[in-house]
Amino acid sequence: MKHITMFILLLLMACEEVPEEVYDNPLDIEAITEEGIETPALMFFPDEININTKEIFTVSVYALDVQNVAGAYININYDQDKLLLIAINPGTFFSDLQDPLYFSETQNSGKIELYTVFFGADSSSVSGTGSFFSIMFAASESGVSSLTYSTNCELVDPDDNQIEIKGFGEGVVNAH
Amino acid sequence: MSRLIFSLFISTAVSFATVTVDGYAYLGKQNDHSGINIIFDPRDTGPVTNIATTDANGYFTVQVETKNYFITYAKDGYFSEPIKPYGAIDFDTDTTLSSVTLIKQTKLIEFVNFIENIVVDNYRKLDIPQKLLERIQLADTTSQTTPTRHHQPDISQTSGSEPAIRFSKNVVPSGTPEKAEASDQPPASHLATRFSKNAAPSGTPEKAEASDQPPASHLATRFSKSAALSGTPGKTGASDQPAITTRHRSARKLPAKTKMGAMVRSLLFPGLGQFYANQRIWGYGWIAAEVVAGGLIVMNYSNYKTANDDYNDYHTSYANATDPTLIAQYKTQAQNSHENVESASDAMKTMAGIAGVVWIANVVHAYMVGPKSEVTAYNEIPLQMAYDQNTDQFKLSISISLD
Repeated sequence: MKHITMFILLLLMACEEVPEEVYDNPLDIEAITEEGIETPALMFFPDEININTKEIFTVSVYALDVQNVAGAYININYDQDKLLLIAINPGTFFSDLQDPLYFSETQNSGKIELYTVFFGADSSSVSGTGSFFSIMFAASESGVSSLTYSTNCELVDPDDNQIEIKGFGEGVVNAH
Repeated sequence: MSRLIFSLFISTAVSFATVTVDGYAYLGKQNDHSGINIIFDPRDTGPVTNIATTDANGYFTVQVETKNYFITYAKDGYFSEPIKPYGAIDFDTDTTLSSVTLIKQTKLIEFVNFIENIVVDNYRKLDIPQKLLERIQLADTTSQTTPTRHHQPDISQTSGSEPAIRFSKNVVPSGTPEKAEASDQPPASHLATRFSKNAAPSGTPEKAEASDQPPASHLATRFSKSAALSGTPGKTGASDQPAITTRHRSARKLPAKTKMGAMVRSLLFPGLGQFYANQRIWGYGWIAAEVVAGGLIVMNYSNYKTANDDYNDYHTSYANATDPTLIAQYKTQAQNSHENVESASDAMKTMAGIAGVVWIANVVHAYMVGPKSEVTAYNEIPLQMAYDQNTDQFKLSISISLD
């Protein structure tokens, strides 16, 4: 009986499941491309948040694979019945010797308008992937809500030329 | 002078006066009470013994001198019985004694015969020298004809238990068919040996039927005896007596080895059935094969676990990374780890399949090399033991079927 048990154990060992290979980092260009999001894009990181009600979480606004960005206008929509805006902080994308200029407008209407400008010491713009802001929310009600970008968001270069944003990511908040 | 003569006559007449003593003596549970000896043993004056014998009704009468006697009732096969209550009686007048019933020595005789049968049988099984066997048989035959043998029962009642006739010789004495019939009856019980005898003399089906009675019990060894008697019914000469053939079956109780037994053992563990079938090299081989397969499964499982842990770590790092360089790096490492996981898992499944195939093959092989049912230990050993009446010797033969 012991031998049979050992054999069954070996069979069970052999039947171990191989974990499913999932690469879904919202800042992974390959991954979002496979999902149909082209760059340059505005993304939320993390793009999926699971929290308990009344808990606070932070989501970052990321520019993905952008070139020569010197300023940005970001318009975010959220469900004000379920999420409570707590704070807005500047990100690291425009950080340099001098802190970036930024301001926001919140009208308790479920919209956040953010403005930021880069003041670099050695350059007038940045390229690549980085966060413009980090926004702090609290889950006021349970349920699923989303964070979305309005299509009127803008990215501009040092010459104030608009940079086409080809993709917009979406954030999902699941409050229990 | 005349007075003197008269006195002598009177004294002589008185001293030699006889009286008549009679009475009844019975045999317990018998209708024929003849043959009981009533022994009058004088208490005072020497060994002048009077013996009376009963008739069929149990009556006896005897003339004895007027003396004091010890009186004993005796008959072979029965317990002797002294006169009661004192064992001695003075007889001075004609006397009728109280009736006495003798008890048969049934249990004692059966026990003695039982022991005798064991001794004779075991001597025969041990194949002792023929001369010694003949001595035993001679002593046995002598004991049958000795009337004073106390443990020998009345031949009219217990002839069926005579060892010489029962075991060694299928003798049918000339002119005594009744005894021959009785002699074919098997013994009441045996501890170590059983004989069953088939005697079918021509023209005497009743006797053959009577002789077919099996023995009451046996424990270790069985003998079956077949004798086809021919010639004159009820009379068997030496030249007519055929040999008595006995078949010996081994009393060994070895476990039966079967193909299924080997298969089941190999099903429980590889190689076990081969060991069971005395194929030790194959047994070691199958065990080694299964151990190697099991070892490879374990080794691949270890690789699987390591790769899986790495994958989880790298994937977590990838999911939490915000730097594109780190994202790409962790993603690459996670992908490599996932490939290792898949490789180890595939190898593990392959080895598990091989181990299963090896196991099944081992089971099939165990069934193939398993002992055939024809050679199981339960089978009868084809030994034939025969007793030749003409040569008065035992013979041993072995027969092997070639089909």
